[in-house]
Amino acid sequence: MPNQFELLFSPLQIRNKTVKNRIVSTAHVTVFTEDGMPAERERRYYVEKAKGGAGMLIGFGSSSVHPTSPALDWRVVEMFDDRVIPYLQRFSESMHEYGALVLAQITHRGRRGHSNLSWQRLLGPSRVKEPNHREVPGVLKREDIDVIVQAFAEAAMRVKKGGFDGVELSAAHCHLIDQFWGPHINFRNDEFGGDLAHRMRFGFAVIERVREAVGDDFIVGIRITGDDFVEGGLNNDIMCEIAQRISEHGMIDYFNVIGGSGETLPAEAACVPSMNFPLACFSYLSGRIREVVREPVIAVGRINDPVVAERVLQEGQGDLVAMTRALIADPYLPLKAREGRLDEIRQCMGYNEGCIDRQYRGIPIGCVQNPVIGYEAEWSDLPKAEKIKKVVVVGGGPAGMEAARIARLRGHHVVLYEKSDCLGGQLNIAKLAPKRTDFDGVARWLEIQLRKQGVEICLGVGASVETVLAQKPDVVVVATGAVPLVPPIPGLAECPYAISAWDVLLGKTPPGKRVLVIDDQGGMESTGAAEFLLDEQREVEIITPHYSVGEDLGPTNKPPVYTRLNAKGAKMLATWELRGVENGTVRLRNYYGGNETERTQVDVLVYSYGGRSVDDLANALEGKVAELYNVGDSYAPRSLHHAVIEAHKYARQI
Amino acid sequence: MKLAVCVKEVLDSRLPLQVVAQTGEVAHLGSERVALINPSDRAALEVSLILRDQNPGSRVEVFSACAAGEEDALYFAVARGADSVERLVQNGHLAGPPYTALLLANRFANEKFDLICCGDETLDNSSAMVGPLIAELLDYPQVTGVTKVRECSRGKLLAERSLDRGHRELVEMELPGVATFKIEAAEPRYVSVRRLEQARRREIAVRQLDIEPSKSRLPGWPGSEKKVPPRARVKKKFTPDANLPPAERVKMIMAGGMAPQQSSQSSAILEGDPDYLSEQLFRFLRHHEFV
Amino acid sequence: MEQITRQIEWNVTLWMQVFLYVGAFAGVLIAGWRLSKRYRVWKLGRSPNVQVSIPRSLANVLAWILNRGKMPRDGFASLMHFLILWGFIILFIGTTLVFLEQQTPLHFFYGTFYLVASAVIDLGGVAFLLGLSMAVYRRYLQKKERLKASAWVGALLALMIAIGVTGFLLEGFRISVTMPGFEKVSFVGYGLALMLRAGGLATAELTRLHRADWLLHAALSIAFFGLATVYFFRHIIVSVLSVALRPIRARGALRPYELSPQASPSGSVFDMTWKDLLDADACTACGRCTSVCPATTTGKALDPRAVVLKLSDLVGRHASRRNGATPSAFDTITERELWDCTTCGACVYECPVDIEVFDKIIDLRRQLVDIGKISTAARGCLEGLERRQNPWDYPPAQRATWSETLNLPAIAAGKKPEWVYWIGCAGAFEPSAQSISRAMVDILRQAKVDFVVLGSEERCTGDPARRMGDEGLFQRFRNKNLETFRRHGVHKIVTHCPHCFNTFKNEYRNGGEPEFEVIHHSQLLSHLISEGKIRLTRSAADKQVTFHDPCYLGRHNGEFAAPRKVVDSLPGMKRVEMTRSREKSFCCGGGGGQMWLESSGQQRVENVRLTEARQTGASLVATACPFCKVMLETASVTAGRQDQVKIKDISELVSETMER
Repeated sequence: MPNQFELLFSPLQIRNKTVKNRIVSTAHVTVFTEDGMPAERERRYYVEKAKGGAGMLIGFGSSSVHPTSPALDWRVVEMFDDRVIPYLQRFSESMHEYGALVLAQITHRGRRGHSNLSWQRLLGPSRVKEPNHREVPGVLKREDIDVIVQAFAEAAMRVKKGGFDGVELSAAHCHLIDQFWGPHINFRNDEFGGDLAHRMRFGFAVIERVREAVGDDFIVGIRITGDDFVEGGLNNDIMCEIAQRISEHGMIDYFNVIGGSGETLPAEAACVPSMNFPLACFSYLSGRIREVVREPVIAVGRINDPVVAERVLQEGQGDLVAMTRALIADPYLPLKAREGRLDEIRQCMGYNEGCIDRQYRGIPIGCVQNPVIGYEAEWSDLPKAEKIKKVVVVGGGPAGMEAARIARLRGHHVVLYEKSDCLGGQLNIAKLAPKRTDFDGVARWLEIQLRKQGVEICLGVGASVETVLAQKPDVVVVATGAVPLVPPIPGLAECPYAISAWDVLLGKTPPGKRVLVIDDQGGMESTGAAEFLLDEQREVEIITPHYSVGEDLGPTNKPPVYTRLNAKGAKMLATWELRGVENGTVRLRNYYGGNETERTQVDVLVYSYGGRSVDDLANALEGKVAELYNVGDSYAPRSLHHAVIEAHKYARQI
Repeated sequence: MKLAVCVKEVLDSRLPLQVVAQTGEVAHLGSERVALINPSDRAALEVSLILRDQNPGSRVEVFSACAAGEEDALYFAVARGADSVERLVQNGHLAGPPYTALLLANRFANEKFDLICCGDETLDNSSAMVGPLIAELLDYPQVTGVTKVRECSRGKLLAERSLDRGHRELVEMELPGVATFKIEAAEPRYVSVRRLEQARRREIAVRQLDIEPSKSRLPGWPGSEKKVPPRARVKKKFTPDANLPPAERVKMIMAGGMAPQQSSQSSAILEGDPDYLSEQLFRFLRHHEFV
Repeated sequence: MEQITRQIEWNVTLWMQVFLYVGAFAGVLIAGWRLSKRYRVWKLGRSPNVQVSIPRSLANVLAWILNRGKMPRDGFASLMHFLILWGFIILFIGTTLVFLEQQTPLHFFYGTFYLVASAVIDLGGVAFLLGLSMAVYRRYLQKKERLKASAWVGALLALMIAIGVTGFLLEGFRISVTMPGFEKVSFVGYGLALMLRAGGLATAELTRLHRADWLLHAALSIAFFGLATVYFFRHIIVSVLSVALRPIRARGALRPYELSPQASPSGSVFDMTWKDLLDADACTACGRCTSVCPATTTGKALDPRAVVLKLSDLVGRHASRRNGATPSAFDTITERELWDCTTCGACVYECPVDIEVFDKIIDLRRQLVDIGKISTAARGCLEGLERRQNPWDYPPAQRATWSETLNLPAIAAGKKPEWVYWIGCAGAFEPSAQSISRAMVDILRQAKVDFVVLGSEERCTGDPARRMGDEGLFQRFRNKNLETFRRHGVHKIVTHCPHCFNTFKNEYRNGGEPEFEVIHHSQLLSHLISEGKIRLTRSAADKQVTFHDPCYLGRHNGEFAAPRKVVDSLPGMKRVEMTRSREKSFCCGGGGGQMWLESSGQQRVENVRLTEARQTGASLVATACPFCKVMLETASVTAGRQDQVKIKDISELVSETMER
């Protein structure tokens, strides 16, 4: 169908530039900077996107216009220093080589952060602390405001000198500009506070100074929220009013509309909607903004697929689509979509644990599906092997499949054994939890690749040492995964009504109304199982020795999970661990105090202690083959991200 | 009544296809090349055959501007009962919808037909230009996207054409005129292999035309320019009330626009006969502005 | 000692004799004239390409009369029909003897011969009346649903009963007057005579009554002859013809169809063959076809008897009209009826007078297809077949996708393995049939059978095209497949699909000798088991199994034993039979293109069959056809019973239980 992506691949004029298609990678923090500068790692990461065919790349999320912006926790680009200009020049040249427009985001985070990293005073419009960081800011004085406005203009000029096509002002995520807008934050009595016109003055001051500095031949865009989902905050009606006034003011070239805000934890989770949200869940926000402004609008929020993107455009919810995470999962998405190779696109599943949830913790981003992210310099090329080998991969989980994929791409002859009748391994369990269906896509993509590239797949074959050796392999990759760990807690192994969280998802739960879930793993295992059982109308109490249930869930995953657990009536108890089980009585001990309590009349006990490696085959093959790799959970039970990275790394060595 | 039908042969898109790098043309992968009569052309042909049967003394003549070896659509037309078929050729290599229209319009300038029927668009080009261009070149009235012919007699065509969102428009056109048909305009009859093989034994008349495109009133071919689609209209979508508590708003979005307390009201299980059910379903979709 | 004989002309005057002979002659003339009119209509039909050989026809008829063909399958009807037919034959012979004795110089009606003949004739009369009473009971008291108690049939039955009764009375009157002692052998007549005499009637009165009765009997007999070619009685003559002209061909082979480029069928009744028209007139309206038809019994539009009778009616209407417009079969037979047929062949198997019922339906479908009047579903299927060589309309390139991980040995030039395993479209594209293909590959490998597959060189055999009425499409498939087989030197084929099997076996000969051998997988499996090539040792979870006979394996090709042998070899499993099995098996509803057509009617055939299977108490239904498996599985899933009854192909069962 030649017209399938009619709008997606049509050009669009923005001020003096033409963007070649409607696909945008929006600004995000990568934590790849070196000493606050966007160096080689950052550049290589973006080059892949430019090569992949995206139309517009907005770099450097939240880069600081002034040292008082509390952003050291994310190691953002320091746009307040002229040192940055040569880095910017090298960066923009690389992007222009592939025909992409390149912009940079600049901002001041105001009160959003902690002052304990830079020991610079925290500043805000009023003395109101942010619920998220809980540090009370000092009030910006009139002269400080002038300094910061000037800093915005100078930072924008550095971006222009760096050869960029434009700059984006962030007035979203509750940064300084939208802190001024917020009626629940800005209680000033001077000209910058009061009614909306006054609260908008700071923002307009920034816009006017920036435009004055950069001139007419430079794109100046703005990122705003469509609804911050904060009590008494900037709801959709207010934001439409604000956007309309900015549009009438006439100095901004595009609107980039997110949902949510950085102010509270639930709102922060909505900013980068995870798989808990529907696809294109916030396109209604950009759609409403688009009705009241003349300028192009970027629709944002889980647009993970070109078909969805085209639909968003056709429905007029935006003029451009932000496919940021989709381009992390597969930088070559635009090219593949354009050529109709839709089944080759590695689709972002919105897991977030690999990208944004790492970034919020200040760790460099990656992608649970795409191991190359962050390692473009080392891994973006995949050279053919010098000597073609026979490779046997045992285990069709993500690790096994990734290893087989890379080995095959390098030219080896690959045979993959999987003992069950379908590929996917633990993904096939994970996807069964509520709102986790999208895990399916990981295995689907890998399987399509394996079949396309001609990996010989033997399903339903539990490979033994003999089967493996009968193939006369040069290399064996063992990726036999893990099984649920049953810790040596008295009575647990013998308990007839005790069941692992995995088996819960597989629907093997024994009958009974009262369920106790022991969450030691700290991830999605226990919360997923708990939700699964709540959906079966059971009474569930989750008990964890950690500070909170689902302790290790990332900042964008925990709030939606908590929202649902709450709505479904789960009880939670933190800091208690499982001590023993005997006939319907479950003994618990406080992790800190050591005192004990118990739960009686428990019908089902669900335990989640993570996995135990299945490494018999790896051990048995030791010394029997020339090259042997044990990757993923069969080496040590960890995450999907570990499995994919590890398999990728070792498969490259074959 | 004299009816002209313009048809084109297209390749079966369900078979493996590939783009030949040198020519940019689409070709079948593998040895077996299977051509079809373009689906909407097929509907146009069927409509004409039905009109012919309703109006005694009528004729259906079928035309295709195609190269030798691409006459499959014409054979299909013979097998379906067309009175005559003709292949139009032009000296020199000319291709593309405007030239096809030019050729056909030239042919119809010499011999008057009451109604010229075309398919709405083709599987391969989807330009939907040929019918409208013929009408322009001949200064005939036209109606595009016909989904149903209500009446065609006494120099008038009364037809329904499709609009957005499943709406229909009733239009009346003076004849002679050009009509382009949607696939749903008529359910085409089946042609048995025996009839098809009988048809293939027929020799197809060829008419040589010599047209100088530069001297004709041929509109510019916009294919070379980058087409910038117009700004799409905003479609109203579910938007939670801004006065609701933020947690409720987020829950509504997470649930795909359905708040838990709303869902019991906005979903219902219906039982009944298919007519009733489809009616109710359509009302529901209309009510929620899905269509 | 009085002479043991009878005075033939006793009490019969010359004018009475003249009345009899003139009347009888006229009756026969009328019957002959009526028959000739129908004969002229039959002749308008196309030639069915039936070669008539007199000895074979005689053999057919003899066999039919002697063992009474398919009659014995219905005991009551069989006995009834036997009594009426043989009573009639005896009485007819008796009357002929009387005629010969009287009108020719032959004189033999004396002594022992006379006594024996008299007794036998009386016996025949009793049988005749007994049979007729059974018929009355059946029609009017038992009210068998499939039999239509029409006024015509009632009148004709009454006529025959009257002939029988007046005949006996005639004898009674005669004996009551003459009273020879030896007439005791005519036990009915003698008994009647004694009763008449005991009634106190005088000899003169008896003589008068005898004369009146004689005239009545003669008149009724003349009427009988005159009516011999009307409606129900017609079968007495025509069914003999239809049986005599029964063509010899394999049961499963559909009759070929004339494909002359000039022919332009338009639903004219004369586009049927003359054999079809004759067949239609042979119908006794007994309704046995209807009672077994899967379409009729599930409330669909099709009623096979009605189709035959409607054809007969059209013949009759044309016969009674001069220069009328050619009647069209589609005036009375609706398209819906024709598309309901599953071609299961139960009707043909049941028909006591060998009418090829479903061939007529297919012929009419062929006419519909040729004028392009078919449903969207049928069109989709046929167009899919034409363009993509499979009725499911899948891209042909995906034909080998199911086996990508199996490393199947593909056929290559020069390589000559023993067997070609033909997967068929269902086995290649239908997910639940792909498991059959996998199981077969598993078994063939385990048994070390030397085999190859044709992979993407396979295409449909043409079975659905043929049964849905596009004969040209079928022939195209046949030619292309035969060409492929010749190119690769294929000489032995095994297939798990009875439809492919039947088509290869019966329809790919093209009149000549078969070019290759084809067997069904049930036959191969049973062979492998008895040879010990595979050993079934692992017992299955199910204890009771019932076997569903696929129509194209069982009824059409007579293979009932092989699949049962396979099922019986399954360890720890007991076979139970369904109420309808073997020849009487009930269709799964998937044949004749029904797999791809919309189902009509109150019930679905597959649901009825599944219910029947469940009634055996078995937890497993074994079958040997991908179509049956898919249909029954669909029934099981739609009934929400997929956990209670499993549907499996015998190959899957073998693969599950065989020793590795």
